[in-house]
Amino acid sequence: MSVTTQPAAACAAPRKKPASVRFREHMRRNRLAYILLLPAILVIAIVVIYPFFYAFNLAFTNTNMYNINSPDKTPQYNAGANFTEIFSDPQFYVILGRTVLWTVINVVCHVSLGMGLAILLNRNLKIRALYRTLLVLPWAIPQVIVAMMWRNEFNTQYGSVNLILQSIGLPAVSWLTNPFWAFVAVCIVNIWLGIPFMMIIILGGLQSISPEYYEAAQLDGATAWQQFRRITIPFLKPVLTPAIVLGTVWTFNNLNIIYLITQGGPNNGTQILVTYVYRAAFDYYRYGYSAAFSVIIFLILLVFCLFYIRATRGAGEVT
Amino acid sequence: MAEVKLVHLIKDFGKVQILKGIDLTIPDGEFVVLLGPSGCGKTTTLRLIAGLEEVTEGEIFIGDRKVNNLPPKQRDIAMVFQSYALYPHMTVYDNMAFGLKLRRVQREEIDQKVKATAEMMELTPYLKRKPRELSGGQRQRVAVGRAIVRNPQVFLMDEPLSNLDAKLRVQMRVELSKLHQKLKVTTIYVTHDQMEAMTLGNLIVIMNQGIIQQMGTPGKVYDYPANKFVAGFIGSPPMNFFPAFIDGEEEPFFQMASFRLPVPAQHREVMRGYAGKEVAFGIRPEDITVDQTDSEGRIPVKAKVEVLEMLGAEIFLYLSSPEEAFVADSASEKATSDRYLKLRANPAHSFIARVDPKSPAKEGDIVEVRFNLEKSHAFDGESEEAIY
Repeated sequence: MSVTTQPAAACAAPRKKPASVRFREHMRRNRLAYILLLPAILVIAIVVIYPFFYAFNLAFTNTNMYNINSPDKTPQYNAGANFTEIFSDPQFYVILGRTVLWTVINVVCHVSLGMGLAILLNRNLKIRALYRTLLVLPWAIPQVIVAMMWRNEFNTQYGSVNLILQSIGLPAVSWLTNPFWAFVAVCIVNIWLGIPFMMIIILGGLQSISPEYYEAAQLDGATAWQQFRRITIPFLKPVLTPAIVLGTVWTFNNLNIIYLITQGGPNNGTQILVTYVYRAAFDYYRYGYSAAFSVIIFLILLVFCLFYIRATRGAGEVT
Repeated sequence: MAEVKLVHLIKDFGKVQILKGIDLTIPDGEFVVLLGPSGCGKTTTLRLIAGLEEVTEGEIFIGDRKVNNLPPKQRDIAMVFQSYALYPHMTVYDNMAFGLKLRRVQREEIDQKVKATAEMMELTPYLKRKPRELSGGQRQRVAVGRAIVRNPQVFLMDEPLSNLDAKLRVQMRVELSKLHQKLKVTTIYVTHDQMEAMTLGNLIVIMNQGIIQQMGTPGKVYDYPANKFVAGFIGSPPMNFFPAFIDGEEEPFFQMASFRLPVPAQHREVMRGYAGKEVAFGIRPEDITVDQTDSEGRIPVKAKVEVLEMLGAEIFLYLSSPEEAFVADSASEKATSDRYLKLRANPAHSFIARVDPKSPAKEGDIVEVRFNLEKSHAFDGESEEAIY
């Protein structure tokens, strides 16, 4: 409730007090709550808030391996030179484009395949629990192990993928040495890895839809597709929206799979923004430049999230 | 509009048989109420007609068509669900228009039909709202509106008023009644509320344990219940039953645990056949009086007033026939017979009388009650079928 400063309102509202008094009262009332929150606030401050501003500051400096912690050189503010360099580098746009492509392919496949499996699992299957466990397995395996495993599966000579292709009469593919196929390979791995999460989220959403809505729609004359389109999708929106936002952010920033399988190669063919930043920071030791790059990634995702959440809200939440 | 015909309908869920052979013909344009306690199969019957469940055995006809294997949308029916099942992400307008849109009706026609229906259901101001922005009664009207806008051959209603408060329920009951008089569409209405059934239905079908117990007009099922179940289910408070056996050769009488009553003259003939057999004597609460004087020569029975419920226009007396009252009658030779001992094992019997609010009875009083035997009922002790 807002309190106006007009005199009439002042005498009508006896609890109008100076801000400092109100703050002190608020603190006294909620002291225990703040004490209990303190450890979490501290941790967040140390691992999130401080690094965030540190990186933001770093982005405007020329900090690198030679001038950081050096006795005779100090990092200098370079008036946005890092950003100028990034935006004038044609490579940046290629990588940005590939990152977007990577994200779109992955998220679309995660959601559509995850939804397909969730719909199948939502039926009255006899051994549903077993299927569900099996389908969740990829998610339960550490990503490093997944990456190692798939790198071997994609081995041109001995990998099972090529062996299967050859057994059905198709030519062997040089998965990890051809830039195009390497990109396909990392996409396959990441899709395989990301489906279970979406499946579980969507299955939860599906199970919360009362069967009466489908019955009403059937009586209204809806086909299976129309029921999916007009009932399932709107009802799933509250769970799909955050899942898609999270999935997009995770995929956009997914370093592990690409770095562990191809290191962004061959010939930068699987490089996305985060792997590129990682290389700049930890192979070329250009800290200021990498920080600027990270800020750009952050802003891209921030704009996406704001836009997406706004676009999906108001179109009708389901209560 | 169409006739609905069910021929020996059986429905199993796994090993449980929910419907055990339903034969029912619902005449064109009637308002029929399926009434019964929970689990009696009334909702299952409705869902079978709707096509939401598969028939195990038997046939369903809507009009001239056998619809057993038709999907719900081809049966030309509309259903109002207990929870309304309004699409929460659509406006009232879209909820009502949904079925028409799916049937590819012209946009102008949809608009005109939805608006006309909204007008009839007094929903015009709410067309742009979402269901969650409506009150319970308004939602209920949208659910009904969504059903009638398609102009189906049959309406199916599954306890549509059970989510409303008592006052609104009575109001909607009247509205539904008026609506049916206006539209004259065959309506099948499921409820467990006998008051709703009595006030709404042209015909009432009383079900229990997957079997139709009786079908008839409200007046008929009330005055001439086919069996003890119907007699006990219809009417509030329910009919009183006294375990009894028939005694007396020329002038048979009901021998209860603590008193006896003569069989009314017009039923003597049939009751003689039950001589010595167990029966249940039934009497409705309004056919019991507690007048001090009795001009019609009815036999007084002593009873104790346990609880008195004052309802304004009437009083419910919860009575018990005290054991002491029995002593005078025990001289009968039959007193020692097995049947008699069986009755005697549970002599105190409670029953309810619905009496005039001016009645002087008080809680704890011993009063003399009189039964209007002309309105009494008798049920076979074993089959529980009505004898008269």
